[in-house]
Amino acid sequence: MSGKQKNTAMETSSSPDWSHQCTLYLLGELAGQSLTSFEQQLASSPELGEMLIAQAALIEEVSKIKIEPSTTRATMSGYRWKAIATMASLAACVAGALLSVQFHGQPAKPQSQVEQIPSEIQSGPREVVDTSESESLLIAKVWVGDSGVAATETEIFDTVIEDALFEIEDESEAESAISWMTVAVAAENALLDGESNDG
Amino acid sequence: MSRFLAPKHQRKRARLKPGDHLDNLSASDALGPTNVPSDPSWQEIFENALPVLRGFLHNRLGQESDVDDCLQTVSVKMIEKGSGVAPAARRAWLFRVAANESARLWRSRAASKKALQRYASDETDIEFPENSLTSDETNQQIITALNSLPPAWQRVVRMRIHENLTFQQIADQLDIPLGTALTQMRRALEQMKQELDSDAI
Repeated sequence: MSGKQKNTAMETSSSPDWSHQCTLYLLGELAGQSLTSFEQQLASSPELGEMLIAQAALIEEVSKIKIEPSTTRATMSGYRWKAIATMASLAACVAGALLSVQFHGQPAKPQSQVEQIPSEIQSGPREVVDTSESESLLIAKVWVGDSGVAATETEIFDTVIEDALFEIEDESEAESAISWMTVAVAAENALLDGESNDG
Repeated sequence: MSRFLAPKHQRKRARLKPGDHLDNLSASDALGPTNVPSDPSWQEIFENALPVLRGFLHNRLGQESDVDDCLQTVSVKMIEKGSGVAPAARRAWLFRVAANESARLWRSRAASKKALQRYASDETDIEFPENSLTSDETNQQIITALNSLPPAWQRVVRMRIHENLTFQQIADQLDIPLGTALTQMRRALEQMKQELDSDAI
């Protein structure tokens, strides 16, 4: 080998790429044209040979280090679980926010006993469920035996009263629920007053 | 025959006939019929590395007979100590042992000539310890150098060398480009080498 050729080989083999080629070769990951050119270069360059040995020593030393066999996999699965947990938390937050927006976005319905009426009853005669006041009056009329109320309506209101009383749990609710009695008493008194005035 | 070759009873098993060259032999021929390592990948690695090993030793030793002697010793050591070598480091181990054997052979040759003896003593400095002869201190230095790497680089080194995954498998598992895995490995080894060199100084 001439001096010029040797210099060229030295320059080439001292480039960082050759070091990486040494690593790939030692790890068995050099193939095809890369492998052929590496072998040719190695045959003609003692410097590349020394570089190869230095890299071999490093790889072998690193391979001797005792590490936990599943460290990497455990870390990997740990990362995956973290990612999954984060995604689940985010999904829960988004779902909660959407539900919250939907819930608060609906117009508020007046709290009344009408809400407690079963749907099949609500779809009945409209005058029955128009307002809580008319409902109270009708109930009052039934209670005082007003003959003007239809039999079906009385049956409906019997059910309503039963349902309402059955579902009352809170004392305050109970007070509001029996307000119709006050109206009924007042209505009865008014009727009695009327009769006495007439009489 | 040099005294640095394997003991006679071991050499007999892998004895080459006159005129034979390891280039023309399979690994099983070189190792002898009853001494092929149980792990077939050793055989494969040796066969694949043989031309390059030969070229490497030829550069160091010059004479073909010395190269053959050296390769024979490497194959015997592979049988004796190869089972403890991590699969990913097997080719590296072969070259390291070959380098040591060639250095020993050099010393042997130099012992007979005063001028070369001085050169041989210098050669001692570049010899690498074999197999499990690495000191605890060196191990600790390697661990320190490895732990000082960025976590992503450490992960690639561990997966490639300790778990023997290919770079493509690593890239797939970590969901990174192949080029990134290769670059991380290269930078990791470069940085580790720098740290170890600075420790040596």
